[in-house]
Amino acid sequence: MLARVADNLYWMSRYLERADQTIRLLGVQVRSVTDNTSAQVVAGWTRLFRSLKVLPPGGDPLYSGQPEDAFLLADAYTLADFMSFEQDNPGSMVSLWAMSRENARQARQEITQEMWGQLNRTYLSLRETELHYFWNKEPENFYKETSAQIYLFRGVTDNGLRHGLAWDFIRLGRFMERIQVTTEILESYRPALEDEDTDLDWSLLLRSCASFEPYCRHYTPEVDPWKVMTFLIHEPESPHTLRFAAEEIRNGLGRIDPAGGARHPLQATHRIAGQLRALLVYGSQDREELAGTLAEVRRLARSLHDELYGRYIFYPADQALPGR
Amino acid sequence: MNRSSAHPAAPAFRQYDHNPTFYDEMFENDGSAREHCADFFETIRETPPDDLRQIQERVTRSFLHEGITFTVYGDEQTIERVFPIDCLPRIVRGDEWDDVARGLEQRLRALNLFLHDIYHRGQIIRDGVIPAELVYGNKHYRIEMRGIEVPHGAYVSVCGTDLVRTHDGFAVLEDNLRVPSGVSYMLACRDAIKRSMPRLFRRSRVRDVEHYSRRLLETLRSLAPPQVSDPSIVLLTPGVYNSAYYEHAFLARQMGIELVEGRDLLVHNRRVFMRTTAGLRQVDVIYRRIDDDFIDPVTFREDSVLGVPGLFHAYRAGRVVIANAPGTGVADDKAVYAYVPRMIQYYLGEESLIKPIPTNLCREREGLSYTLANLDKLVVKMVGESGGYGMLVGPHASKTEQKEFAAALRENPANYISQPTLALSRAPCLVGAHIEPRHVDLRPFILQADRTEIVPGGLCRVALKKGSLVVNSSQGGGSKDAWIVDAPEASATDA
Repeated sequence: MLARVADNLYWMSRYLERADQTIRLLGVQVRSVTDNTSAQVVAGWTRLFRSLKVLPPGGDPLYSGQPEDAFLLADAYTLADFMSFEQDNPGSMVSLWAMSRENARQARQEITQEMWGQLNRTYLSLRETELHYFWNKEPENFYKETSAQIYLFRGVTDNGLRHGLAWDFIRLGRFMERIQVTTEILESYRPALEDEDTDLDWSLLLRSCASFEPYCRHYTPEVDPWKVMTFLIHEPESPHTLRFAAEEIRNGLGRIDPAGGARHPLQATHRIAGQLRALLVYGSQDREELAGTLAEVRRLARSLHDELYGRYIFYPADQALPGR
Repeated sequence: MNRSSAHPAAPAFRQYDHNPTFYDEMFENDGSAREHCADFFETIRETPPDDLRQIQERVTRSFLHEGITFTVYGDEQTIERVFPIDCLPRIVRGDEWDDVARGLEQRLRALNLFLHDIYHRGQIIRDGVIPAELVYGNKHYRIEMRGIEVPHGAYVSVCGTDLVRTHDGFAVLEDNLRVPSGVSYMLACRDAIKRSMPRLFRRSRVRDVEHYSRRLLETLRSLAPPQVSDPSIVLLTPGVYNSAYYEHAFLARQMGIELVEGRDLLVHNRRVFMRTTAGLRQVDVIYRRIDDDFIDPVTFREDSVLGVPGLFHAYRAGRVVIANAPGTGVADDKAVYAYVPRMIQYYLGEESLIKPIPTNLCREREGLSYTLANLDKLVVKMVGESGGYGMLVGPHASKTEQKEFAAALRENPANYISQPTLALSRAPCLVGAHIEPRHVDLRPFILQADRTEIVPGGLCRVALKKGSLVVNSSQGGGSKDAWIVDAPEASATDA
């Protein structure tokens, strides 16, 4: 596959995963507006903007010293609108979707007609006024339905596209993005673990990570903060945990380049992916180590991304001249 | 589209303007349906216009969803638009088409022989059949191509010829021998129409066009260097901002070949490679959809960022094949057009099977004076322009426009040709709630390498503005499906 196209597929998938995470966080947050106290709502917005690394309109209230004021001034719908439809906000759902689609458009020869159709159709509908009206009336339903469009895209991808290189890069992009965003979400909740007086509803974190039902099956619906945290980091079978993503990334790299993990010296991509997995499988699960673990996941994911680029996308041509 | 529809007969054709000045693709001069269109006409006549409009909307929507669009850059946001599609096909009789196809094959054979000749000995010029300056002075003549042997002598392996029809039959309006586009519209249109009117389609015995991509791939394969058994073929596109990008991606997907941009390719030791995730891979055949000027900044325009430095050297060395070959533009020049019948006579010893349109060369004294004297009746075209630009349609032009054009003509006569204004044929089109006649042309696609392949059909372009003769999509044109239909066999009553 063309290196440029692999790059497009990887980003198509990363942007879509990011849109998915954004949509889910917004869904949880607009629900919280109906359910929770205004202090909790404000804390929720703070975590949301922090996790997605987006600067809220009017500056970052986290540093203003008076976060509550800033967020109470802005109506919840204004914030949700900013994160959903604002085209000047590169982190809004519509912008992310547009970027995903633009990358897909440049990789048309590798993706199926149905994949493109699904991505394009949803993109076009997101820009229609009726949909904005629907969002305005029933935001939570709107986010649910948009989320379903992403699931549909994934279904179409898994069942229509050959499980070859293109599929591997798409999957790699998805789990690279997932591990990074999920780490940030966990990080945004971490301080609350230490806070004795918090009235934080920890099921929000599970819902933010699409893991409420898996958690309930594994434990019970009684939500224990520490159990939630370790579940989302170390549980091997739920698709939104850090460990699950790390396993997927390592397996994906193994498929893309089977020899890269078997020889000495080990390829940098395989080495880092192995470290990441080892950390999440065998690493410490002590409370004191939590901050360090999350920081290490973040660091490894970033350097893995760089190594992927050096290896498959922007490699120097003179090192790659073959015989035929 | 059910014939036993409960709707009453719809007045869709009530306002149809039967005007015998123009050949009508569906109706005889007396207003009755042509025999090969009769069944289609009956069905459409019984279809409520609302149903037709819905079909049209569905087709348009499916084009939008598939991304068969062009982009309009507005102040607020960019808008993607679909080229207008008319859901009523243009229907052509099979036996008429067969004659046309023979003529197209003959014409392209002659043009390829001409290109070989002018990049070698130039015998046709020595024999005084065509003036030297028309060839060597043409801006599309590539001196770099001299002496190069191209596989099967197929300089042009993909050709899109614009045909028009009058009461006298089909005529060639122009040849597109460089990077003709539109074939994806033909295929997408057909696909959409089949889904929209399946029964009527099946009943109509329409010849298939779906195998175009396979034929194109075979053509490209047959161009590969003989020592290569399993050639690596790519489609070279200028990229996602090109208006034909959809077509490039479409064809690459249909053929299962890589769609590459200039930045994906590099030349080393006169071999061309593409950058893949597993390192560099050699390329043997390039179906390029980039103009000559831009393919290689070392040989042609040095400011090109779309091309591949050194590509032409690899080509000269025979390590890679480029299709169409560089330098074919000289043969689809509007002035050279006038000489094609003579080429056919010269190289093949045959009469041109498709009638040429009489062309006045303004570079010649008689041509110029005739053109100036008849500006109000003629179509004057600028040599070297395409897309309907630089053109005067005399009967539709104001006196001032004619005056301005006359001045330009006198200034630089060699830059112009003129032709009689043709009574272009018309075909029924859905306009709002009615069916009205609009002018149409037809661009079939001809593939030529070791043999010639013509898919029965083509891109049928429509001048959607009432009375307009300009079908170019940049100037308010749309398109419709073209059906080549065969006469029913005696026993066939398939409904």
